[in-house]
Amino acid sequence: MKEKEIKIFKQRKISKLRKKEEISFYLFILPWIIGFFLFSGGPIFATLGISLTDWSLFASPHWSGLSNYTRLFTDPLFYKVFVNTLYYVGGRVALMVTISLLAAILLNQKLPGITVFRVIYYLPAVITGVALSTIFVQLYRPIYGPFAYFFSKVGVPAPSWLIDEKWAMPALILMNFWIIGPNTVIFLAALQGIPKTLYEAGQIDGANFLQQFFHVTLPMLSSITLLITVITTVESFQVFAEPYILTRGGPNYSTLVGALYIYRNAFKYFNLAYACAFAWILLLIVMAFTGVQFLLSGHWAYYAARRE
Amino acid sequence: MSSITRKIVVSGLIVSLVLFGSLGSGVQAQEKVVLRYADTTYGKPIMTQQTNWIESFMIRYPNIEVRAERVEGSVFNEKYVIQAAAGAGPDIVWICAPSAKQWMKAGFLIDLVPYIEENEALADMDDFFEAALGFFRYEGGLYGLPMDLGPEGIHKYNVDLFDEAGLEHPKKSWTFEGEFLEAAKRLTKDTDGDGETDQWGMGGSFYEFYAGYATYMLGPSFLFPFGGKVVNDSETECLLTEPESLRALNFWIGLIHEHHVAPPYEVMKAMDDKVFQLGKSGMAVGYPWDVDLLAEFPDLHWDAMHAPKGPAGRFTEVLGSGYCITQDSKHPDEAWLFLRDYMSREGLTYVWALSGSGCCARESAWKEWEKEVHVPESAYIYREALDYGTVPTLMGPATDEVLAVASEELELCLMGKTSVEEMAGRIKAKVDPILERAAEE
Repeated sequence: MKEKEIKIFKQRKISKLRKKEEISFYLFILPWIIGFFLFSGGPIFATLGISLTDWSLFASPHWSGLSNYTRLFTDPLFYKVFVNTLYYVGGRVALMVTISLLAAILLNQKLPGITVFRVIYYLPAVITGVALSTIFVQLYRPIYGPFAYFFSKVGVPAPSWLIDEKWAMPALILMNFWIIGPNTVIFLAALQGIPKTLYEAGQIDGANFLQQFFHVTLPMLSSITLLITVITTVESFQVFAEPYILTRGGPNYSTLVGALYIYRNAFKYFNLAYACAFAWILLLIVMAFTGVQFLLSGHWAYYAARRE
Repeated sequence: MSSITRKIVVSGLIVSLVLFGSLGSGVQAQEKVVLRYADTTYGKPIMTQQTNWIESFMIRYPNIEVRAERVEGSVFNEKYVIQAAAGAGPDIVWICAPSAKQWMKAGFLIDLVPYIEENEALADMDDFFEAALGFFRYEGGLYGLPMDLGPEGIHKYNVDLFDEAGLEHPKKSWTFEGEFLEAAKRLTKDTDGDGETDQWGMGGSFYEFYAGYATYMLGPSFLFPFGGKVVNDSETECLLTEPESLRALNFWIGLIHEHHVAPPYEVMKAMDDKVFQLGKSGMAVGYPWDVDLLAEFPDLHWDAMHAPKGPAGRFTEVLGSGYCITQDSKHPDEAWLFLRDYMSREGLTYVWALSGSGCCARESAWKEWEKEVHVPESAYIYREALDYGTVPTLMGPATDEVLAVASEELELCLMGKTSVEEMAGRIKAKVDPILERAAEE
């Protein structure tokens, strides 16, 4: 009887606490929700309506049903753009997650002056995409560019980075080396949160560095890895400034990605309705990818709180 | 009279005229109004003169405040077309000639004819080049006052390189397949003896990427002399696969891959399309707008030339821009006052001619510009070229999409990855459905 009373008392306590937490949660996200409905929600849902018209900006819109969506599937560029976008997303996510994790491990070492290195690694992240792209236009310049010069000095023919169909997309992906800072910081914080006892236990069992990495570090970082993968994926789907400035989608459409194609249709060709239809398809694709990532994460992501 | 003295005298006359003369006696606005004036960006000399003129206007019309907004030319339309479509356009808007038709057709602009008829003497329309006014005429109305006008074609050559090669300077009698090609061959050299060509007969702006598109080679200056055309007059069909167009494209692409008298694509990109400015090419695409930009290269000694003739005759593309009043303007009367004042003989002379930057849409201002110090000796050729000038072929709603598609294919051909025939076929296959869709809309 006494035990039951204690249980009920505990449940009431938890429930009150949870309620408080829930209220705090909603209060914290309220500004975002208000901002979303006031400034973003309306335009976002308006694009759904516009996508069902033939609006070209230069003439009044007329209802056209699903014609923009059916046109998408007969547009050869749609498939090219789709493949390009996946290529970029895949390449960038793999690069950003891997390199930032490796950088975090390096920056987690107890070495004199490590703080300076942490700052140096983070610094390029404060440069905007436009400025970064402008720098890379010069770095990738054929014949007279610094990269071309470096290759000529080591006696290797330099790729024609931005004017070769095969190299243009890798060039866009590779420049992300510069902006691994934010992901590295998150990984670094997560690394520092792994209990040392786990490594000590591993060492007692005779685990070497690699075994500790694969059996302790990676599993303990899995939830953060999931977070970074999802964020980087969504970011990568939205890439615009880099291809816009460096390649304008060329050569031969090899770097024409989703956001750039939407921009071109909306603001260059003034096919606003078609651009809106494409934007909704892209949104569905991003949502599908994110959903799949979360579904699969159940098999590999470890959440200490959930386990408790 | 030296150029500086002349500039001071002309400026002084203009300022005193506008402050005390007829221009200042226009209808004064009764209430304080603010005009939004959307313009593109220019070089520093123009911007300075323009700011001075606007300030002088506000002194003369104290009830009108002009607030200037500036957006770079290649992205100008995307901002202001959207504003106009949303009913939030500025009072006065800069419009480039190829876009004017779409703005007028969409009903975004107001007809200026009633204002002009109200006081024809002040509007002084006879001084404008008809070609410049033509860009803003639509269904009996006039929807803008032109600001500049000029030819874009093979219009400049490097005097020093011609002299070094012992060549006579270009003449009006030249033909593309004759003297032009011959001169280009003689100008192409390996100047440092490293086994690689580093000076070309033709280059720079040859396939310039205006607003991101390699468009020049598809323009009238390149296709018309050979009888070719990018699209038909009604802009419903691509004509690049026609024999005349193929002959033209083969000639231009042949300068790179067959005759090797123009820089390869990679070199052009590496030199950021400044082959001519750096003194590495004998001839190039020229237009009066680049006169002040070329002045930044003091070692470059260049002059203007007539476009050579092709088998079908002599042609050059004529482009320009102007200012219009939008339907969204709450103060069209005051906007007209500003427009008339700024586009007056004095306004155009002060802002454009004396800054040395522009070939003005008024003949009087143009002649003043020709006297500027860094304007080439034969600048009058630009004015004469208007006689064989032709308007752009593409001015319809599909223009940007067609140019974007064609540009991708042209780029491959410039790199030598496709033949001219393949390129033309691929462009036609992609462009015809776009033109068809645009015609339906």
